[in-house]
Amino acid sequence: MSLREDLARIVGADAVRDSEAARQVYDGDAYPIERSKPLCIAFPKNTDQVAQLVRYCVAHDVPFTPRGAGTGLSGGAMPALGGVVVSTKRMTAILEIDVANRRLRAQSGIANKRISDAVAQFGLHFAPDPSSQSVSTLGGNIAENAGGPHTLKYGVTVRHILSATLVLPDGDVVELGRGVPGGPGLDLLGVVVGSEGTTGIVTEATVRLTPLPAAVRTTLAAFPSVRAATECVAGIISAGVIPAAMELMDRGILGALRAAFGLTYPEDAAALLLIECDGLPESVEREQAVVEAECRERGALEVRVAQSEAERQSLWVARKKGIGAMGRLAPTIVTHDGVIPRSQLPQMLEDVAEIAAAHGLSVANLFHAGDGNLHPCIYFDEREPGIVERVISAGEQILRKCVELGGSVSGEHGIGVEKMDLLTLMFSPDDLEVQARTKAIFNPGSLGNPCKILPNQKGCHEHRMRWRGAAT
Amino acid sequence: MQHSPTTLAEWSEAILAAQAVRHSIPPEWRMDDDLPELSHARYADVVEFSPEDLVITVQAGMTLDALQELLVADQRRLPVGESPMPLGDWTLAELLSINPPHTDEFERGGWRDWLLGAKLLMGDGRIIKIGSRAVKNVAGYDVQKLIVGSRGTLAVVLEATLLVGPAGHAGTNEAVPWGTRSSLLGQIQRGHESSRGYEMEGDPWHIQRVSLTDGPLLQAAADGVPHAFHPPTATLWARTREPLPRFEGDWVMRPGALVPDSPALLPLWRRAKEQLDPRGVLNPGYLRL
Ligand SMILES: Cc1cc2nc3c(=O)[nH]c(=O)nc-3n(C[C@H](O)[C@H](O)[C@H](O)COP(=O)(O)OP(=O)(O)OC[C@H]3O[C@@H](n4cnc5c(N)ncnc54)[C@H](O)[C@@H]3O)c2cc1C
Repeated sequence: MSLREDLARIVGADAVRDSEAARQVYDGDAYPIERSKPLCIAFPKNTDQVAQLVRYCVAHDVPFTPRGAGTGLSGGAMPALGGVVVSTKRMTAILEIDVANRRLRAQSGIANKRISDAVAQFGLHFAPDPSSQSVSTLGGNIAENAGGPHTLKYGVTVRHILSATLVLPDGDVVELGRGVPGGPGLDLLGVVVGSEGTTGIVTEATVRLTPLPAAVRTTLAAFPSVRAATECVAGIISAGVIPAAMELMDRGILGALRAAFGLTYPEDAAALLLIECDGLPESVEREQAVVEAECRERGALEVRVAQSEAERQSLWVARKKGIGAMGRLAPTIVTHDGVIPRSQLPQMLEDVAEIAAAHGLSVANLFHAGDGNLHPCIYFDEREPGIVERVISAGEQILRKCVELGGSVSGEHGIGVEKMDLLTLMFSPDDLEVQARTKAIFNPGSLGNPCKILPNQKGCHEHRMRWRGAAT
Repeated sequence: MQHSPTTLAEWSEAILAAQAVRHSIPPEWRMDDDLPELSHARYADVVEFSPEDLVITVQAGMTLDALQELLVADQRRLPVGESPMPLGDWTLAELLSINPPHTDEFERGGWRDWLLGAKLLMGDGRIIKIGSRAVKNVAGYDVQKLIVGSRGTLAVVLEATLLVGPAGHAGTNEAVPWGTRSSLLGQIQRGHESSRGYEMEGDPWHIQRVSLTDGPLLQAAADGVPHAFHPPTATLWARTREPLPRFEGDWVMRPGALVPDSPALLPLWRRAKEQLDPRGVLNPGYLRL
């Protein structure tokens, strides 16, 4: 029997695809540089079907790769060695809403935003808010430990996952976590979150729900230099205020916003800082006073404070539409993701500009300033000969600098296949060996989402040229 | 026998010379054993403190009191809430190995959330680095999550990089109403008597700490989700060996060996020990496998 027929016996004939077109659609995610086609894509409905699929793959020595919405930016959902893609597309049910205890249990294929939508009527929300939240899935968010603008105050995904059902790469099913935070014991769940789908397939999870804030104040401040804006970020934190969000956009983004949407900002503004404080009305007012004082002290050209929800939405436009607007500047954009201690932001942004200039490239920055999480966006026309190599080299230099300043090569997009080699900038071979052993607690074999995160895995290196070749 | 290394080389040598050591377990949390002690007593300096980043790196022999004193001088603080057992004298190595709960855990996080990176001594003498100094990081496997709360059975924490908060910063969930102590006590007592266990109905209660005269000391930080544990005093200790009234999702933290919640987790726990401390040299007996 064929692979397709075997899988159909588990999930049903309508839940397996292997057409050439389907295999092409599922050959990677939103990271465009590397591609690899699966043999088959399966769409299980529940934990039991996922476990059966995994056991089948193990018994027949077929690699398998979990996949949510495919919005990953480092190639995590690319079936590196072919085999079966296990898609959570049909696993989108909300299983329980426990308002009293502020918890919700859902299948892992549910889109992030649907969780918040379902509990808004109770004054609650699911705090992780990646910009991809209307499509990216709970399982994908867990796998990438996703963040978003409000991560500054509410923390990344791991803080919001109370338990999860995991199909291990040998097909066994375990429940990790107790449904409440803390407690004694080995925190296996904490390792699974952020492990990019290499420790098993999450089929269900209980997430923590957070009350919607009673009050919100949103400020958009324009600064004459990036340095002044980044110093303002450091100043606010130093003053003991941790806003819910602090997002920075530089001149490159402002130019794009002007061109694309006709948005206007003060003529000599070199950077915008979007700051949101939320919580109890009294504390928000207290924080807001600090924010406005810091902005003025750092020479803000203009400080707009939203007086209504409509105004708040309009202040967020710059942040939310920034990347889209960049399409106006050049046909191709590569967004990097690195983190540094936030006090190093002023220096780092000057370094980013220098590195881009030295490579003859244009760069714009729109990022989570409060977390020190940079997203330099290099925009270019890939038809220009030799430019792709320059873009890659500039990206590596930027990330190298992040590590030198005590930061990391990824704040939220993960390592996937994209940054496997860069991990060696942060970690020695001994460090990486301990990470490999940590992975082996869950995944001692080589079939579950192979060739991700750790460099120099057996049987992976020689495939790299194929992945790159398939993308062009 | 006690050994107190002062340099990385001495730490490595000490572990390589030993068949088994006990380390990072506060005295009252120890089991009856006569393991040689590897102590952090002479390993308690600041490595790097950047108040503006809310990040500090210290050697793990520093006590919580000493750390807070140092942080407060720069208007910073580790947001540890109240705990029924005094933690001030505990070293960071002990705090990270036990992962003691505290009243503000639900709002401000706990040790797993604060440990951004670390230098670890492994059972084979190697010294490795995990995590980073950045507050956000998806680069490789989060080994630190596994280390915190593992009772020193997987590695020895030598240096810890911690996320700290502003000294006077109010919590994130401040909009939550605080339950009054008396009504709360009533609820808990009712739960105590009924076979259904505790039930928190209506408004999510934000319990801080409740002491029942004849029962367990309850410490709850979750909104409506109580956490319970016993202070490790001898008398109460004896009592925790009796089954406590349970409610869904609760947990009890006891001194001594860690046991998995369910037998299904046993293979994973075993593999964790085999993978990270294959020689079985670190705190033998503190994971019951
Ligand atoms: C426009 C855009 C904006 C973005 N903004 C943000 C942002 O603000 N913050 C941020 O953090 N990221 C952002 N991302 C990246 C991406 O959306 C996140 O990483 C997201 O969490 C991926 O979810 P997904 O469902 O698309 O997962 P996929 O891309 O399908 O998969 C991602 C990884 O998770 C694994 N995986 C998927 N489902 C499961 C499962 N059920 N069990 C185990 N492993 C699984 C896959 O194997 C893969 O390794 C953005 C991406 C785009 C395209």
